Amino acid sequence: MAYLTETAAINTSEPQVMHIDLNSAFATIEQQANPLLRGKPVGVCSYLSPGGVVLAASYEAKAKGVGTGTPIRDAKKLCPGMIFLMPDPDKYFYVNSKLYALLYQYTSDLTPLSIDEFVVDFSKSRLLNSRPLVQVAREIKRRIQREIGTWMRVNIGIAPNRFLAKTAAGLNKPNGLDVISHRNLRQVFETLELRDLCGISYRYEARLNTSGIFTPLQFLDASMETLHRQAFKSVEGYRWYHRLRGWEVDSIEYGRKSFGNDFAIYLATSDKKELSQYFMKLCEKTGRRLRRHGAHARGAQLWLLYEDHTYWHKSEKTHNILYSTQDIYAAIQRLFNKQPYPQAVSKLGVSVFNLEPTHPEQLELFDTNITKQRQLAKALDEMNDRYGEFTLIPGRMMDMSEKIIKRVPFGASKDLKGQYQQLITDYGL
Amino acid sequence: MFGTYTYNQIMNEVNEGVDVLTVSKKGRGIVVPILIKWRNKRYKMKEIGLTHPKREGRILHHIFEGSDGKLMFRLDYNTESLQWTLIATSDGLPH
Repeated sequence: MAYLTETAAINTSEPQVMHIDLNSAFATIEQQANPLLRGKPVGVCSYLSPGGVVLAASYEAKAKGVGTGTPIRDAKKLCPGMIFLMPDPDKYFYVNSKLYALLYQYTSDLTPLSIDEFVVDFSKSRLLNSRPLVQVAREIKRRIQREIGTWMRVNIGIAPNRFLAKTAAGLNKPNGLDVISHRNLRQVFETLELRDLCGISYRYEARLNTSGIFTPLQFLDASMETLHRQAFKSVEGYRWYHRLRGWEVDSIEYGRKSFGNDFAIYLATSDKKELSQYFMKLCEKTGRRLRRHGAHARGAQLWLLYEDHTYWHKSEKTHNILYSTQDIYAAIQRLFNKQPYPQAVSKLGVSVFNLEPTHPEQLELFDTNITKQRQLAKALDEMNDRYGEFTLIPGRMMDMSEKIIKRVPFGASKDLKGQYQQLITDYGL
Repeated sequence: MFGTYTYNQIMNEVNEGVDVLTVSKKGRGIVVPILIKWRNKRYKMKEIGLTHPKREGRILHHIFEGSDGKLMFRLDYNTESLQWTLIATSDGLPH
């Protein structure tokens, strides 16, 4: 097989992509909010029970070996006196919206990668091209401390593509500012291990090892054929070949194929009434996101993790359109009833797929139940948009209090841009 | 009110109305609390670490978190009733 870009050289264009990473985001925000926590080991956790895990550890805790995913029982041993907090998503969203608004003043080519990471592409913003990006980065750091909080620190990496910019942002934590270009690419790779490269998991590391690649420099020097045919055995090899050389292969935004939400239950239960309440709340969250994106679905999936760690899932395409929360809930409840061996459930998730745009829709000549249900769902959403999530709730969710705590959506970066922009409009940031 | 802090190990829930002396600072939001009178004692705020808005139904609240150097205060300003509530305090140490 002939590779068109077999001889692709290292990208020698000036670095124009900036990766901004808020250091230990949630823990730092808590330390910013509470000056008495500064300089102390702090962990923001999923739960405060011994089995709960640390979602974000402050640098003081990281220095003692506590990291993301460390169970609280282990964190207490590693770092006696560590302070554990529950997450406060509204606060984190607001701080990140302010950061988004600040960065938006530099360029509109701004992508939130997750709740604490942004990519800013300056290649199309001509006005700023006259200023060195390092100077812009220093100004951003100063402004964050002045306008958001004195304790707030970010790592900034600048490079010709997203991957190298993220690599640069991780070189000197915390509060780093580093540039990777064709001039220092090899020197930087000399200081790194394969697992330091974002996207190289232990599985990928093992694959590379079996192809005789043990260091990032060997990875860089490997031919495209080795990567494509031997190491990755897929198009991933082609992507890595270019990614390592500073060419952009990660800027594609894939369309959405499904919407879903999941939840880990504090104490596993087989109580159908309790589970139906969880389903309803997850369906409401999923439905709200589905409708906000102007879509309806023609398929639903339910997955359950049982107390004994076994897993069951079922998905079904539906003839009816799934649009309102009630439509989704009915489909999920049908799936739930198909369980062959029901047991106590410890984690559950619902999702909808086969998405179609709601508009243009086939209008009904007369007011049917479907039209009425759609109008009702729309009216409920408008009320909740205006007065806050879960102001109006389905009857089945009564008495739920805070059974499903609001969580930080780590992976839902596709929704973040819209949410930040909404907050910026609402609060005039 | 404002659930998650209830579970925190370092916060003491208060939920009491308090007297607050504020100044309006350019570019820093609506107001900045500088003095709190709570249970007949005055606390001079050294730093407001963060503020963030929060909606409860149609009512917009502003949450202020700051410290007088010894205690941390989490305050709620209700923009409809124009009342200040001390939600919680903390000395920064676990209970």
